[in-house]
Amino acid sequence: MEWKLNNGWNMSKIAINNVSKIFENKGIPFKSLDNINLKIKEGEFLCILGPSGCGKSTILRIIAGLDSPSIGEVLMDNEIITGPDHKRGMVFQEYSLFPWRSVIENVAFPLEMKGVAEDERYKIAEEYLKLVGLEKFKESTPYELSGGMKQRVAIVRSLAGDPEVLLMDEPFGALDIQTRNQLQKDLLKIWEDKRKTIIFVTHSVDEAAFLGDRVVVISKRPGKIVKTFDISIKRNRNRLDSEFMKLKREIYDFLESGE
Amino acid sequence: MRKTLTAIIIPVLIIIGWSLLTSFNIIPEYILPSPSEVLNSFLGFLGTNELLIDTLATLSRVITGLIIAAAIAIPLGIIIGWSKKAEGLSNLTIQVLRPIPPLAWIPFAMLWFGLGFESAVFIIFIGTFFPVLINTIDGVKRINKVFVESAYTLGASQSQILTNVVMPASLPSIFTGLRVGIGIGLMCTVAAEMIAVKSGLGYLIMESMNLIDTGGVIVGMLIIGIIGFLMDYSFRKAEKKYVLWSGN
Repeated sequence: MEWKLNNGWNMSKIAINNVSKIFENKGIPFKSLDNINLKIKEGEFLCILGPSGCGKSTILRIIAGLDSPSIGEVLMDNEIITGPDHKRGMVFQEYSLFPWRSVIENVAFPLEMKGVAEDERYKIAEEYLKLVGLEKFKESTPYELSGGMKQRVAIVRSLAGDPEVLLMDEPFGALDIQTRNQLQKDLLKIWEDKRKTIIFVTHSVDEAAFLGDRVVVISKRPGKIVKTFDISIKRNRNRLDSEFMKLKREIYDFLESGE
Repeated sequence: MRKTLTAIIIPVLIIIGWSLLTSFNIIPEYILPSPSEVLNSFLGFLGTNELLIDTLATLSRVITGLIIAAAIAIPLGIIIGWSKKAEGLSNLTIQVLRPIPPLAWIPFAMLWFGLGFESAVFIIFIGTFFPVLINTIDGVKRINKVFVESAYTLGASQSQILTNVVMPASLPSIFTGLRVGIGIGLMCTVAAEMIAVKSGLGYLIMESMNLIDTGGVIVGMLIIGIIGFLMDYSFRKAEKKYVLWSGN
């Protein structure tokens, strides 16, 4: 194992190597992802930015192990990913809380699957709910919560599984702008606190620029990496700051020239 | 309260119309007994324990048949709904066996189990098994994929997903299957009792017919209706309690 640590190219937490994905629609194959190569460092906050239908969600699903690549491979800690695993938690755009469980039972779910005793897992779940200010709603059912609250619970439910990597598939896409901005701030706080690696898919330039250490731009069909922006602006970023606006303009300019 | 009042308008009108038609002899007694005749038969039954015994006989058969059918059909339905292989393996068999009316099994039920409890339970089992199975399969197939995928990424194994996600998520459909099953089960019981069993409400109806006690026939029919209503009602209550979330 040790020699690997000395090799720079092996240091990445997640490595996507030459990944292509071909789907079939009514017998006609089409390429959704074309030769994706990407390395993500441990603790990094990476945003994948692209228009809808560019296959950015597919990248995330392949990393999660919910889909497999047609060509290429994805490694986590130098091991090929073959299926889903609690080490890679995923937060979906669609509301995914189990409606037959209360809020706290939802957050305790991954602990229950691991066989953690009931008292213990409720104690842990409550801590996580406090993290997003929802401990008062622990006995509520998911349908009593607003959209933003649901996604907060979904995030801490993933965290309760103690993932090393958190995959987020446009989790704030269905929320209004104020809620969305608030959840972005909450997420950054959690990220700084828990130091997880986060891969965040979005079609919003603003969101990507606000959150990411790095923004990878994916082109439309077939999805290809066309540009990477390294973001050096310190957090907490201010949306009205000239540096931030300049960065956004740079990304917008690229998108408009590229398409 | 208002709802209850609305609900009894039609039954009351039927009884009034029925009384008028029979008491003015517009419909002769031998075609349709009057309400008071039915009440007389009912009171006659109350004199003996017959009615209670027959009602309990029918109820115990329906419930036994339904429990056995559910115990097999629910797990089987979850497996078939979950696994494409299990579906491919069983689909043709199910589709051919399902349309056979449960009553067509009566000859074999009598051959295998004789006259009595087992025979009736077997017929009810056949009648309730398929609605529960089909609804369970359907419920499993319609589960939102995001629940299953979330559970995988939260570290659940396949068997944990079956018990902790698939089972609760398909509970609303399973309940629908059970409710349909109860209705069919009750029909099967009564029919089986008319042919293959010497007790129960179906038997009571046939016996009353033989004694030309048409009031007794209607008593039997009404009790069956009320049992069916009460069973469905209690199931709906249970459904509200256990799958409250499905309404939203």
